[in-house]
Amino acid sequence: MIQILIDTLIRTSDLALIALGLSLSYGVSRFPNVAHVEMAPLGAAVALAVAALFPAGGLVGAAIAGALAAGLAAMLLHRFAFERLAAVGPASALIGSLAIAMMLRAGLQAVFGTRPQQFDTPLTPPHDLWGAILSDLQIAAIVITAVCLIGFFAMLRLTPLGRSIRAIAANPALATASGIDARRVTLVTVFLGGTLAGTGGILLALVTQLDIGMGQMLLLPVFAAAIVGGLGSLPGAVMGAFAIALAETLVMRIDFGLLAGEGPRYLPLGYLTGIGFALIVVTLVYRPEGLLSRGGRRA
Amino acid sequence: MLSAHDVTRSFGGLTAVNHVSLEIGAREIVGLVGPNGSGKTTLLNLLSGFLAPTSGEIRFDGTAVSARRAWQPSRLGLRRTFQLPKLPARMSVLEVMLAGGRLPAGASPWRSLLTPGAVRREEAAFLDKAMGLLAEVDLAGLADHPAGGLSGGQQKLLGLAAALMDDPAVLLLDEPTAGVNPSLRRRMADHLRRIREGGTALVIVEHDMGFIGDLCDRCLALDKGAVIANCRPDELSGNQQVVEAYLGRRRPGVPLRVVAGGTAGAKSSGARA
Amino acid sequence: MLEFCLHVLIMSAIFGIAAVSLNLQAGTSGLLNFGQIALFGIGAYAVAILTRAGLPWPAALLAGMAAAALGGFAIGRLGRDLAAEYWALATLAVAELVRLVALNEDWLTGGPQGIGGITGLFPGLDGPARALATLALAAALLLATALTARRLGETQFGRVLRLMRENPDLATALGHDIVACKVKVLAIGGAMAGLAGGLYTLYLAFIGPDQLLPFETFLIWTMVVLGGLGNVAGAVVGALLVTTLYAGIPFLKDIVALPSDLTGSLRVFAIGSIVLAALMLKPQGLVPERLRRLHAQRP
Ligand SMILES: Nc1ncnc2c1ncn2[C@@H]1O[C@H](COP(=O)(O)OP(=O)(O)OP(=O)(O)O)[C@@H](O)[C@H]1O
Ligand SMILES: [Mg+2]
Repeated sequence: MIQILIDTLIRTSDLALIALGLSLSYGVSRFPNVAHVEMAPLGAAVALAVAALFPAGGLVGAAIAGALAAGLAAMLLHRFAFERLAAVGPASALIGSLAIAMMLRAGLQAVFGTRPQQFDTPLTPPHDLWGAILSDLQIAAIVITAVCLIGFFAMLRLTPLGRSIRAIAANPALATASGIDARRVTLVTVFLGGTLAGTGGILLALVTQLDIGMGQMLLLPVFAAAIVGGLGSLPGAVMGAFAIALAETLVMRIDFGLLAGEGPRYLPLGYLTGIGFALIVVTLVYRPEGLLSRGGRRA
Repeated sequence: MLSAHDVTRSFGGLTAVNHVSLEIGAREIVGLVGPNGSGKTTLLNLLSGFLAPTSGEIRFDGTAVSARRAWQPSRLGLRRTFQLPKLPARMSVLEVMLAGGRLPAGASPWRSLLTPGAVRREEAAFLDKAMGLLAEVDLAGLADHPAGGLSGGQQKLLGLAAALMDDPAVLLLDEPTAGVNPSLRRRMADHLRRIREGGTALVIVEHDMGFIGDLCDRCLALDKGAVIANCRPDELSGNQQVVEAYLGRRRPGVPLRVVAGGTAGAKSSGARA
Repeated sequence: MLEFCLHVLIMSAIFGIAAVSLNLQAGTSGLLNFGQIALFGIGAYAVAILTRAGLPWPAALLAGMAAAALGGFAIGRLGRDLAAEYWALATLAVAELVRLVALNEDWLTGGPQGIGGITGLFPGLDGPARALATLALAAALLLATALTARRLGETQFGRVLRLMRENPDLATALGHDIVACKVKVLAIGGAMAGLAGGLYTLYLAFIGPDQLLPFETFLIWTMVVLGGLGNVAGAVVGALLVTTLYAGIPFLKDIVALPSDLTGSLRVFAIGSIVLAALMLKPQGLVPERLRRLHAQRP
């Protein structure tokens, strides 16, 4: 039982920051940016490179550099590609973001190679928490994710920037009319979204390893989280990440054979990645505004 | 022909159409007036099946209008136009006209492929009809131009002409004369009268009181979603409620010229928009 | 060299069919199908399974088309009133689910190894003669598909599809049931994609889950966007260009001495940059959709 909760929390912390960044960018730019998830391996790869080149900076310095690099990349992409594509229409922006995601992945692979790499972190024995197994790094990842989330939502509630972001997400025209420089705030927001995704990628790489192809693995679960929570809804993205994580954990551990009164039968492991996809489909079909949100987006 | 029974529609906390009942008879021309945001477009959306009422029922020609089959009323002879037509940029004027026609052979993928003869004959007949209707609104010369490239007023005219391709029994028009120049506006009134002679009932949302007074048999005035008057157009200016809806509470010394002033109502409400 | 040219031409014709199909859905009707490869894959697997069971290839091809048409019908029903970008994400997820089934249901699909050893086309011939005969068949089917798509685009059916693409409310107001139109065009597009997939299986005598990666959908999108959305000829031109480029890139490494594990990345990068450049510089594509001047064409 505890193990299920712990597994869910670990998976949530994998997804939450990236999904939050996605929803945040969606709120101001109004198209689902597929290239967003590539900010995760980008941030992790930069952090790894910085850690190797400047060991004096320490792991924290490298992680900050990686997260900032991811934010910067997201902002530049928005400024030089998506602003223009989004002007043509959300469809062009969506296709363009797919193209950019492919290019980023290929570029990262060319620069950093395809072999998984690891951060140089001290190996510590795992803890036994009421029967659940948990490593120091996993605890750190969960805590850092929580701190980032709290810090982010505090920023959103309490600072002028946060107010501007919420104003633009709610109604860009009105926000502009009331004197907010929509373009600048959008760029800053996209930067924040990229930073969040980069941080998520770095944590993921810290806990397991840096797989340059992680964007591909993350794409559908992260979109599933954001969609289940309602694209554009920020608390929704976090709850969506938790929902996806819980669903994945549960489905893997439920003994379907027992339910059907037969011998032990689990869902084949190969379908694990399918849960996110299935949830996307189910959500979109039955509640396109998000399972956890109000206000529709039907055609 | 078309009737609404106690129809209400709210958006969240806002009630855009509030307990409206109405009845449109065959060949009638009914004006629908009211200040901006009074719920005219919403009522039109409800009548044409584009929106589902929160409560109440709409019937056309005996059958219930359902928003789950918004395309159906149009096939049964209830057609509408839009306040903002937003016509396609990559289709020609004539193509939009044909899309308004009923071409069963061409509309079926199988018959498109297997019976080219029937498709051609059907298309030829509707092309003639389309050119005739376009000539009535001065657009025949632009038949091969992109529909989305027309001016705002021309787009409204094309929207109207396309709706006429199927000889509807009831036609709901949302501000047909907005952006149309005065001389064409007069001809449009004649045109709409001829359409009525042809057997079509018209519901016209308008801010131009002159146009309404000229054309309509009867007028419905809306304010905040409720019907506040149902009378002849020339009786509107005598209706205290209507005057207040347009001009706010009457102040001493403000002349009342809702109808006589032609567009006084449109101007005052335009200033509020 | 001759063999290579024939191979490129055959692949161009096969993917040309898939591109014409996508063009009918996305270009003519505005349906952003990011799961095109699933329809292709349904046809491909159906043909593999049925020919292995002893059905002659023309019958298997027809059955594959029917199965893929059913698949198109299903995704059309699924998203009947979703906004365009949301539906696009749903199709992406559906395609991944289809691939997961192909990967995991060994008894039917051969699992990760796929299905090989298919008799294929024209077993009586060999060498260039067989390739030529295959090319003739593929080209004839491409021509038939393209003519069908063009015909469907110019009659009332196509007019309504184009109106639905640009202003669905107006199409509804003029009495057109746009959900029915969507479902019809997806079924037709599905049959075409299934035909392409079936030919692919028959030509390569093999089909596996790696042929159904989202990247393949993206490849077909590249063809359509590069050639020109909304124009049948554009889709064919795009298919020829992209297939040639895709097949030609490995030759580059012989010329400029690239390490071979980079060629994969380079391919992906090249395809991504083509799409991006096309979207930003020539959004209408090489062969833009043209206005239909019905009045001038009247007898
Ligand atoms: N889809 C919607 N969601 C929320 N509110 C809506 C919606 N459609 C209309 N409303 C609200 O309902 C009210 C009535 O709007 P409606 O468009 O019917 O007015 P109208 O009489 O046509 O005005 P105008 O003369 O400016 O065209 C307005 O307050 C509007 O904001
Ligand atoms: Mg209105």
